[in-house]
Amino acid sequence: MNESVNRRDFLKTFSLIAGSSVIIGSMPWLQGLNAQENSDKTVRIGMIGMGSRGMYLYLMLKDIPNMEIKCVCDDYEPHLANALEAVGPQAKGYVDYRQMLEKEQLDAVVIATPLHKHVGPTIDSMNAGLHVFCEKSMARTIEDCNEMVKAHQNTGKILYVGHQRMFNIKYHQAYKMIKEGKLGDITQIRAYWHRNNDWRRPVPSPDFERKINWRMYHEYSCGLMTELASHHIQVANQIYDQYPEYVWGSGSINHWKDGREVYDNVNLVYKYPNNSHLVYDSLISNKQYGLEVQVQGPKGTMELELGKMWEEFPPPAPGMLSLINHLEHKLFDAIPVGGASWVPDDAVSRKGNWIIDEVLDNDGTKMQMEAFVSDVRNNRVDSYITQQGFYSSVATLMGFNAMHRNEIVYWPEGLAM
Amino acid sequence: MPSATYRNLFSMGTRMDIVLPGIDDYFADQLLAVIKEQLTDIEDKISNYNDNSVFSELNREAASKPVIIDPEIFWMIEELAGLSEKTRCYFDFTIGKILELKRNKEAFHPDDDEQIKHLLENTGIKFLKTNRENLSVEFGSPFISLDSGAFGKGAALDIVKTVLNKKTVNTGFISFGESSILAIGSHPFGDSWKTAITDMFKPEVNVYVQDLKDQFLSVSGITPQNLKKYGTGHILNPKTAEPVKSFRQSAVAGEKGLVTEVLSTALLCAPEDERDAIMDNFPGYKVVIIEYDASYKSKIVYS
Repeated sequence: MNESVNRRDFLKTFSLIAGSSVIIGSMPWLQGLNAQENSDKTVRIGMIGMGSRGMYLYLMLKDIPNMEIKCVCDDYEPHLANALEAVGPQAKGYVDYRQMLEKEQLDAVVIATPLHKHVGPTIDSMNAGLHVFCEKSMARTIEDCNEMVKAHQNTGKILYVGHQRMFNIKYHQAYKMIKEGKLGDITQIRAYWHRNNDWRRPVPSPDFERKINWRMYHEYSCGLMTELASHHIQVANQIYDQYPEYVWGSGSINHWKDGREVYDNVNLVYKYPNNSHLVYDSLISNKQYGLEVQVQGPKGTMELELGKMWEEFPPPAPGMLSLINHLEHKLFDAIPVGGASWVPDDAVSRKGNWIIDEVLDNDGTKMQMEAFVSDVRNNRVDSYITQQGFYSSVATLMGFNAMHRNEIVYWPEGLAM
Repeated sequence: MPSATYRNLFSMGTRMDIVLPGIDDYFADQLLAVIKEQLTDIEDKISNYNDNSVFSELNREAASKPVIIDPEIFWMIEELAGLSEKTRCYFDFTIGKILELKRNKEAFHPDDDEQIKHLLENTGIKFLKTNRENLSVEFGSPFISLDSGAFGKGAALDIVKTVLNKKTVNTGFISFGESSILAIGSHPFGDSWKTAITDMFKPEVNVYVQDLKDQFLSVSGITPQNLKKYGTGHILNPKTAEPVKSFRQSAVAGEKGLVTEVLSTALLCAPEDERDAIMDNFPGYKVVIIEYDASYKSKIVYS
């Protein structure tokens, strides 16, 4: 399917479910999808980090009209060769991103390097006058995240962080319903991400173990926290419209005892300023429950990955509502039964109701890349995406620190954007 | 008298709405807990969607050997067999395989007509063997499959009535999917509970009003909503395996939920000239059948 058609479908569906463009206006990071200006201007992009995620982002980018991938960069030769073969002979390959920034005329870069290598290319690119899309999480340390935000603020360049749920229609409808109070005040979010595999990639020789399996080692990654949890923490932050005050938790290596350093199971509780919580766990030794974000309030529950909602107190069926009204007004009148209003399975049921009827086959990544290219084209800088990525990354790293230090870790004083 | 307390619960894939005038919240919650427990128990026994239910066990094993079962379900099966006979087999709970085949539209193709014919010849209560001495059930045909869809809600409402009677609740109105009704006692401001069967094309118009007092009402119908949802009538005539196609409603009022449920379905399928003979077997039960002509105008055709 053509990417621009996807964007039209997204906007059409979004308009239908959201009700009006006013809603889009209240979600300014979506404006890029709506923009028609300068649509014939070609956006020149360089990609840094062409492993599996980088290649996935390439697939999401490649059909966007008036967008050119001018160059790709990776310091691991097989990844670079694979990327050049996919992108085609018009793209130039680089091993060192600094050379790429120096030699190429670009508008933006897309960064999908290992986590510890986000900070360098992100800051250098913005300082070189380029807009940046950086995969989540932002960086390996809170200090690095902060430096990336400062570079964004100092240069005025776009800094997208790859939280694709911000561009997922199902999530937008859920946020809208939550803001409308459909669940009441949210009292708890429970989220989990479970898999059952060793999370390793094959290596050509032991010399490449740390380079390929960087997610296993603390020097480069915080494991399940930075690679998975950051998505759901971003969702929780967005729902609560806050960042957490503090976090405590526990993790261990209890299954994959293969020399890795990162935990294969993590369990955390985040406390938010409104006395609500995010209860999170992730493991890679059981996939029975998959992944989910359960949003709970006194009026109902939503499961955002599944896309369903359950009401705590579903309203009475039409006939019963009529009866209750009669009783309240001391009226003795006929109660309608079995009529045209009767479609039992359409009533709110324990099976729950879908949050949206029309589900596009899209996790939000395509829309996010569309929006990024459009924002670059129009030089439209929206800091909300950066802020969401920043707050999520900081909270993610706090969780990591809480487990490893076995202590409550508070949000760094004065840290905000 | 305090105002009415409203509660709901889900059972058998359907919502049950409960209105109890003069009952406080605390007592209502106690009642709800007991009702839920009892309905879960019966659903666990007769559900076709639960592999461990008595019905599922029978459907798996009773064609090859007698299966001793839970006494409650044994006597229910005997009662259902009797009701099938009394409805001249226009209610038949043994045609699960036919229902499965007809409802699975993707798997169904014209060659299956022969299969349906074969199934019709080899299903029915005549193949059901019950043994009261050891409470066992055996199928005389491997093509029998018990289905609780056409009577489950009635059985559930009978249970609700028993619970409420035991707890000395003397007024209440319970709606199971708005098509199966239990009326306990009478409305606080009337001498019965007044129900109205509404026109399926003009919901604001009452086609028929039925007073209920310590009675059940079951409404079966082929509505535009059903057609939209299922693509055809969702009720099959068990003698032909053909769906009831015309817009039609049948409503039966009487003193037992299971009977009203069975009878309303059977009368929807039974031909006009057999209705009297069927109703002769159910003294005390009131029925009304409403049909809609080509211009969607309602008419009571039988009462």
